[in-house]
Amino acid sequence: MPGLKKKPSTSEVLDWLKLILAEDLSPEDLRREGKAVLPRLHGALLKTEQDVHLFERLAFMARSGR
Amino acid sequence: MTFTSTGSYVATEDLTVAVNAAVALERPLLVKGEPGTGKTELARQVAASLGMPLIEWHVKSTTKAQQGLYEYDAVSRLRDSQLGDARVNDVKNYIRKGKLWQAFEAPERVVLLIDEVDKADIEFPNDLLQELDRMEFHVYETGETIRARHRPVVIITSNNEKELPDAFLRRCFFHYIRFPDVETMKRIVAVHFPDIREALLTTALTQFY
Repeated sequence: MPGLKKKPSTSEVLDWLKLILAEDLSPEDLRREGKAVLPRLHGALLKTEQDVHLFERLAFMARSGR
Repeated sequence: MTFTSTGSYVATEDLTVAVNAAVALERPLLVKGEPGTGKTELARQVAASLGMPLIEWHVKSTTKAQQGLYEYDAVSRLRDSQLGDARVNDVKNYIRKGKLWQAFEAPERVVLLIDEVDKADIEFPNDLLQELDRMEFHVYETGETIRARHRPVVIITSNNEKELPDAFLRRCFFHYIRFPDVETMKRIVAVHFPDIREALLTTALTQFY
């Protein structure tokens, strides 16, 4: 994903997976549903609000372009 | 042991998810948001909700990371040595414990609030990386190593006045408190003014938004 201020690192991906395992989420849970444009538990991956906004905008554009 | 909204504090769903995720990961929770969105209050509510004591460390522009660990009061020691005070022989008498030390040596798990971390200079968060990661630090004057007896729940707030370093961000779970939408605002108002008339509230909020 281009343009992020702080790209997620390996350790952050591991943190994210650790949380997904801890919450016992299924693959279906992870597929984004309806209104939620951000991935579950995104606080482990996106660390600035600018990145969160950017991600929301891109997800929104991807959705409306479909 | 999970955090939820309390009688005096409305936490949105994503905020409770963030708090519980940070506790599960044993990583600091970095809370950002405009002033007045309830960042500092969050720490108090988390402590109350989890039934843990709260240790607050308010950061100023002059705060150094070392002050959170301990300070060695060399001036007092020099004065005492000239007055012939017996305490001067033990350097431990001149070590002042900081907030991190207090949190580490607490007999039970505590919530540690590091408030307004962006007030200090840019090196401040970097200087705390090791201590927050490993939950231990070394006291050079006495040669002891202080380890956390119970890993504290760390909540760090930032007003966004300065950028935080990537190495610091990597170790935190991030949450941005948004300005509440109308529904959330209604719940917040209900907590603060339980007797407000519905019609008045609706009109006031319509004018506000």
